[in-house]
Amino acid sequence: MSRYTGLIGADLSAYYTGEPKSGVKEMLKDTLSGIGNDIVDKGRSLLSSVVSGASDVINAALPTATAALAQLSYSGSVGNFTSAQEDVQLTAKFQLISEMTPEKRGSPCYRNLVINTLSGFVMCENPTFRATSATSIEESAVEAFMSGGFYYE
Amino acid sequence: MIQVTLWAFDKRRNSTKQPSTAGTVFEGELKSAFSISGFELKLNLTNQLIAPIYNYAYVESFRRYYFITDWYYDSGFWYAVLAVDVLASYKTEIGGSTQFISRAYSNYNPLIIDASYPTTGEVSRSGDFITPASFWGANPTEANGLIVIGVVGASASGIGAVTYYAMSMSVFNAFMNSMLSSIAWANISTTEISEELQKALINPTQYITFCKWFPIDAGSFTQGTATSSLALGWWTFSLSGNARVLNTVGSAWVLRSNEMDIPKHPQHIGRGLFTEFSPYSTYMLKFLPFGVFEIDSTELAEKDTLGIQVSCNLMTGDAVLHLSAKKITDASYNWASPFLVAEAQIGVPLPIGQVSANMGNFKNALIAGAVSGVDAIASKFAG
Repeated sequence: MSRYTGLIGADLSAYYTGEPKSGVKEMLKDTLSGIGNDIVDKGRSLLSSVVSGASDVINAALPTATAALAQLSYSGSVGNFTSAQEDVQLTAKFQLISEMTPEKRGSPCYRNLVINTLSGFVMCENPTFRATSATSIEESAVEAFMSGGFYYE
Repeated sequence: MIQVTLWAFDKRRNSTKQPSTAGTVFEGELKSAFSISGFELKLNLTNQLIAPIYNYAYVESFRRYYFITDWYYDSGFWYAVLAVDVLASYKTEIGGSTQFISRAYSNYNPLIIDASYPTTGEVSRSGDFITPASFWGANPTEANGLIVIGVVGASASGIGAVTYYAMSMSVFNAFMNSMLSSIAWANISTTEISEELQKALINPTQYITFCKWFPIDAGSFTQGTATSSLALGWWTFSLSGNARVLNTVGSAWVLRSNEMDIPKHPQHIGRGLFTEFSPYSTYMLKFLPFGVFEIDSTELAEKDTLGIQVSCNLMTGDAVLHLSAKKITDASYNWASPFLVAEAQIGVPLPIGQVSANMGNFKNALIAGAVSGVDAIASKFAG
């Protein structure tokens, strides 16, 4: 899905009436403070030469405003005839996985269970096995099988 | 001598499986020293040099099953090399134990992402769509849409000083034509003020404070109250067709909703239900002018349809988008708690009056202000 919308026309005139939304207001504040900072930063560097070069300061600061304001129209923008003609589209992209072999590796379970309620492949997390007639080596061996996965059948 | 039962038995090394047949019983001889977990057994199978078929054993006196890992022949006897099979030997104890099961074949949670399967690099795509006509009830041409204008005029139906009228484009065009093609509607005698001077003095568009087009079928729009005239400033205009006066804020709210099928991952059935989640499934919704949204796949997992609801205020053009999802068996969407809310201007602003601004002037003003600012900064440094 590679479709992008944008405003091709350049706004040459503008006016604003009404109270901006809070998020917009904050962005505008940030934008304006960005312009202000640019003006001050550029202004400092120009102090040695320059009040007459102030137009350069403004020209340098304006892209800051343009970039920030452009983001305002990305989502929740003003309606237009073009967008009104666009379908509402839901697009899904699926990453396929390799063939599943649950009979050989099971599927995630993550529950405490009595093993004889299961069949087929079983894998345990931090298993503990004790049997009165088993040696400790055998108990460890059983635990190793439980950790690595075994077939209860 | 020790009694041993032998089988030719096919089993995995990591299995609790035990032989279900009786097996063949032999007498064997142990070496003098041995370990219970593994030993060698001398068997009088045959004195011929034919390899034995047995690969599995049970020693009753040891209460253990053994794999026969090797056979070797020496001085007319076969020797079996045995290694204990702990899983078969302790099958009962293993089965009776309670463990935390991380993976299992017969009992699993399909909603837990199974990261043990790598993605193949293959990508599949699917989707659904709703046409504007099906969502809004109108083809999105300017002629089929709804024009809403806010007019300052003598009317008891106004919201504040402005009365909002909703009408078709043809009615609106006829109204504009009657308003601007002649000044006769002002009803001022040309003997008092010439027609040309009247046109210079009276700008009727100044009374139109709001004008927006909406992608809503004007023909089926029945909210508000019907009217065939429009009060503008000091005057009243007859309309070429019916319009609707939106005399309450409530009458200006329009609600539209629709739904789309949620595409499902090709491998989502059964154990693959987890593929409905990211990163295996990603969803994008494009609904302009609200924008393009990446939808959290957890909201769509195990759901069948995506509900889209838009509430729009015709007096402002503001619209709010709500998204919710449901199973096909659910009675309705839970609009009280949508998983996504977005705002946008649905109304398309149509210029009526002469509002203009010169960016050059703004820039000059900014430059002038900045010069003052730099002067001030310079004076601070100088001071």
